Amino acid sequence: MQLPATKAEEKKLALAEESRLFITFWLADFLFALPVEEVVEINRSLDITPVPQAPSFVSGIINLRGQILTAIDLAQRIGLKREKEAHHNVIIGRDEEPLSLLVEQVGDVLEIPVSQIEDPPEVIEGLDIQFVKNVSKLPDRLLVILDVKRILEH
Amino acid sequence: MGFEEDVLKDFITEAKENLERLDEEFVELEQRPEDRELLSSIFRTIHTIKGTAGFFGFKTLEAIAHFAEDILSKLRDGLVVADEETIDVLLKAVDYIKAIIAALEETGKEPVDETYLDFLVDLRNFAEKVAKKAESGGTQTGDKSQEEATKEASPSETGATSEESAAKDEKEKTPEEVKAPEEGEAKGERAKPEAESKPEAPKPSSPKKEEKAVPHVHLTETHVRVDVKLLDQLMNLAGELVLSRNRLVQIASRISDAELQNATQNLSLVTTELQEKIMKTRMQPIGNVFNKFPRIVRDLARSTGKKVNLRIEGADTELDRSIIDAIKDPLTHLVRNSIDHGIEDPDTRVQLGKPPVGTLVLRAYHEGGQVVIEIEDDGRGIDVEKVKQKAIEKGLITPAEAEKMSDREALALIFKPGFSTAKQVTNISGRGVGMDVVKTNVEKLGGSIDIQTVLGAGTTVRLKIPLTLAIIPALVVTCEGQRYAIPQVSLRELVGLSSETRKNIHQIGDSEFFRLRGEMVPIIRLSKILGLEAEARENESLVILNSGAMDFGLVVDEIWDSEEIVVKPLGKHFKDISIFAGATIMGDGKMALILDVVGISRKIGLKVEDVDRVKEETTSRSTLTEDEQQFILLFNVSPEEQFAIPLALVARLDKIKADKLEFVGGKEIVQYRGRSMPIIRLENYLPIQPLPEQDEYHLLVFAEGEREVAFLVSRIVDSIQTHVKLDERLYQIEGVLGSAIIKDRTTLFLDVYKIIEMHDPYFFMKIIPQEERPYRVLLAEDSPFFRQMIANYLSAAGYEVETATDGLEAWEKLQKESFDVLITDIEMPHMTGIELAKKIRADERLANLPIMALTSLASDEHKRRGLEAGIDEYQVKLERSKVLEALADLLNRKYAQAA
Repeated sequence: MQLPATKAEEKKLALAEESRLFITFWLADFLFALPVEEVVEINRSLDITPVPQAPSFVSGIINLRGQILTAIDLAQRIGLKREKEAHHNVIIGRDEEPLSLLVEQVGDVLEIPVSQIEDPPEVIEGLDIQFVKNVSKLPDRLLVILDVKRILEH
Repeated sequence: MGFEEDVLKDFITEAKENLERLDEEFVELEQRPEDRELLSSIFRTIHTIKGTAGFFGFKTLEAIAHFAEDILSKLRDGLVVADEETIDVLLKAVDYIKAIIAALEETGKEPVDETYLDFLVDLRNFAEKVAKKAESGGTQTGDKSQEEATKEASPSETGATSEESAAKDEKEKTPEEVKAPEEGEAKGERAKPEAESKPEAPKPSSPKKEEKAVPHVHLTETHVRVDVKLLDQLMNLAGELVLSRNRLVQIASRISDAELQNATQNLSLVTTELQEKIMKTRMQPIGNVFNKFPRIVRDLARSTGKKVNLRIEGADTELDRSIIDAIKDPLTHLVRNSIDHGIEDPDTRVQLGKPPVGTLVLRAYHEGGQVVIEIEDDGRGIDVEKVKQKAIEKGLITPAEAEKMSDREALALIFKPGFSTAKQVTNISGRGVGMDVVKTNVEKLGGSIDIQTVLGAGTTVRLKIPLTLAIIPALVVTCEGQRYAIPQVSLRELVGLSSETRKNIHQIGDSEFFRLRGEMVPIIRLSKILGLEAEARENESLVILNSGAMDFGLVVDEIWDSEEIVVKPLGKHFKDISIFAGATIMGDGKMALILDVVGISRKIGLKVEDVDRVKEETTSRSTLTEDEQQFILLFNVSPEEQFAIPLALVARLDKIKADKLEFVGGKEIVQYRGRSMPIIRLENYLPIQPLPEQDEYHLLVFAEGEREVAFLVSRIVDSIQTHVKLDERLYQIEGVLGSAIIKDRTTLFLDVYKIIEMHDPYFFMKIIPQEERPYRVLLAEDSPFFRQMIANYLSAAGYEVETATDGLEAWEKLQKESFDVLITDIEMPHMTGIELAKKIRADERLANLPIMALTSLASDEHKRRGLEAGIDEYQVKLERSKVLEALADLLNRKYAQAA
C-alpha cells in the first residue's frame, strides 16, 4: 500500500535534487542507513534502565530530557549477532512514539543518488531481510537502508 | 479585524457555556412551566445570543434565536404555558444554535445548509401558532413583529438573498417554502433593536431582569478564562520543576552548605505549593459532566416513552480535568443503559407497584483518595439467568459453565466483548459498542467498575476513579540494584525483616505467608516477580500492600525513600507487562519503574491458584469473586488422606520433635511457649487412618482467648486460594463438613470447631442466653461449607440454629416460624442478603428483627450498603469470636431495649 506512494515521492525528489540524505551507522560490521527525515536526533550514551519481563529486543528505557523512551537493541531486533557494546542512540519516530535504536558507531551523513537506491536482494547473510527496505552499492561495501516502519511495528 | 476575531472567540466561549446551562434550564422548565424567573433567565440567554449574532451578521443564528425568543416572551409573560411540544421545539432550536456555534468555531462562518432553513420555517410557523394562542391574552406580538420585520427588511437584503438563492439552487421547493426563510432571515436581521425595545413596553418583569443580572457582572470581574492547553503545559512544566527540585535537594544535602540548604528548602516549599495550585486549576467539579445529563435523560426518556426523574448528588466533587473528559463517554453509555434497559415504561411500573416515574441517581463522592461515581436506577434490574442464556447463545460460555457460575461471575459476562443484554438492538444503547468498551476506558484511567443488581428492584453501577493521574506520592524501594516506585495509595505498612520478624514467615507448599497481627498475608519476593536471579540477603524489608481485593506482602531489598513522582507512560513495547504502571524520573535524573500493585496481585493469585486452571478464568475470578474465595490449608495425617481447613482459622503453624509430646493425666500435651498445650490427634475423633510415627510433627494451633489447642499432623501439603465447592452428601460424619476434589485428590474439609468441641466441650465459652430458652437463629448462607461451619460454631455457643440455603428460603422460613435473629450471607442466589434485609424491613411484623450480615470481605462500602438496607451488624465469616461477641451484643441491645 505505502510502497507506490513512497516511490512516487522518491521520483519527485529525484527530479528536484536527484539524491537523498541518509544517516549511517555501524552494527556488527554492517553499514546501515536511515533517511535523515526519519531520524529525530543522535545521542551519545544515555543511561539505560532495564525493564524486567520486556521483550528480548528491548534494552530498557532512557531519559531523553524528561521524556521516557524505549531503547531497542537494534541488533537483536533485526537478527544480528552483535559483538561490541552498542551505546549510541539513534532516535527515530517523528510522528509516532519515539524510540531509541542502539548502535555501535555513528557514521557519516551520505548523499545517495536516487538512481543508486536499489531493491534489496533476496538474502543478506546474517540479517533478517524483512527489516531491509533498500540497499545501495557503495564503492567499498553495501549500504543497508532499514525499513523504519517495520522496526517500529510491535 | 483582530479585535473582531477576539470578540468572536469570546462570544463563542460564552455562548457555549450559556447553551449548556440552557439544556438544564429547559428540563427544569418542564417541571415548573410557570417559573417566571427561570423563563426570564432562558429568555436573557437567547436574547444575548441573538444580539451578538446580529452584531456579527450571522443571519441564520440570529433568526433562530429571534423566533425562540418570540416564543419565550409569550411564555414568560404567562400568555401561554410551556407544554412538552413547545419545549421540544425550543430545545431543537438550542440544538441548531449549538450546531451553528460549533460551525462558527471551526470555520468562522455560518454553515450553509438547507436543514437550517427548513427548521427556521418550522420554528417560525410554530412561533406564529404560539402567538395566535397568546392572542386571547390581548397581545399580538408575533404578528406585529412580523410586520415590522417585513417593513425593515431592506438592510439585510444581500445576506438574505444569497441564502435564498442557495436554498433555491439546492432544492426544488414550493415558492412559499422558499420564501419563508427569507422572511425569517429578514426579520432576524432587525431583531436586535426590536427585541431590546419590545420586552420593555408590555412586560412587568423587566425590573426583575435587572436584579438577576447583577451576579453576572460580579463573575466577570473575578474570573479569567484560560485556554485549557495552557493549563496542560503548566502542568507539564510543574512536573519538570518538581523533578529539578528533587535533584537540587539531593545535591544540596550532599554539599551541606547552610545557605544553599535554606534556599533549596524555600524553593522546595514554593514548588510544592505551585504544583498543588496548578493541580487545583485543573480540578473541575464533576457537575461539568453531570449537568449534561438532565437533557440526555429527558430526550432518552421521551424517545423510549418512559418517565425518568434524574437526581444528581455530589456534583461539586472535584476531579482532574483530564479525567473528567475521559469519563464523559463511559458515563453517557451507562446512563443510556439504565434508561434503555433498566427503567420500565410507566404502565409496567404501575403494574409492578412501583411509582410510574423511574428514578435515576447520578452520585459522586470521595473515598480513600479516589472518586466514586454511582449510576443507580430503580428499574427492572439485570436478570442473571438471561445474561447467562445470552452468553451461551453468543458462545461466550458453555451451558455447563453457566450452571456453575455465581451471580457475580455471570454479571461479569456483561463486560465481555460482543455482549449486549437488550433483547433487540435499539438505537439508544445497542450500538455494538458495549460495556466492554466502558470497562476498558475506565480501566485505562486506573479505575474500576462494578455492578450490583437486584432483580426487579434496580441496578447500581459503581466506577472508582483516581483523582489525578499526573503526580503521585510514592515509596521508592530497591531490588537487585534498581529502584522501583510503589504508589502510596496501595501501601499499608512496612515491616523490617530481622531474624526475629522472620519467624512470622511460614512456608506452605510453594507459597510463603507472613503472620501479621493474627492475619495470614501471602508474601512474594519482588525479584521473583521481576524474574531476576536473587541473592540471599540478611536485611530485607517487607512492604505490605493492598490491591483492593487482597493484602499481600512484597519482599524488597531496601526501602529507599518516599517521594512525589511524576508518572510517565511506558512505550507500547511494554503494554503486555502488567506489573508496571509506568516510569518516573528520580531526583538524580535516573529512572525508576512504577509497580502496578493490582497487576502484581494478579500474578500472585495465579501462583497460589491451582496451576491447571485456565489463566483467564483465574484472573476474572480473583478480581470479581473474591467474596467467596479463600485460602485453604491442605495437610495429611496419614499420607493417603488429604484434609483441608480454612487457613484463617489457624492461629499458628509450627513444628515439634516427637520427644516433646507428653502424656499426662490421660491427656496428650506439648510444652509450647512455656505452657502446656493440649494436642488433638484427629484419628481419635474421626474415622481416618492414624498418624504414623515420625521424628517431627506439624502443629496447627488454634486459639480462643487465652486457651490454645493444636492438631497434630504429619505433613503440610500446600495452601491454595480457591472456591470451595463442597459435596456434603458423601461424608456425613460429625466433624467433617464435606468433601471436594483439590489437586486431583478427594479432600475432606474438617469442622475445626466441632472437633475441638468433641475434644473439650468447655473449650469455647458459651453464650448464656438471657431467657430460659436458647435464642433461635436463622442462618442464610448458600455455601454449604460456610453454612455448616457457622451453624456449628453457633450451636456450640448455645444457640438454636435453623439454616436456609439462600435469601428466598430464609424469607419463607421467616413467614412460618419465629426467630430471634437473622444471620445472613450477602452474595446468595435467588435473593441476596441485601434484598432479604430490605424485604424484612419493609414487613411490619419483621421490621424489628435483628439482622447480622456475614461476608468473607467486609469493606466500608459493603457496610454502607448493608446499613442502608437495614442490616444491624456486619462481620467477617471466619472471625468466629468476633461474630459471637457481636451477636451477643446485638441481641442484648435489641432485647434489653424491648424490655
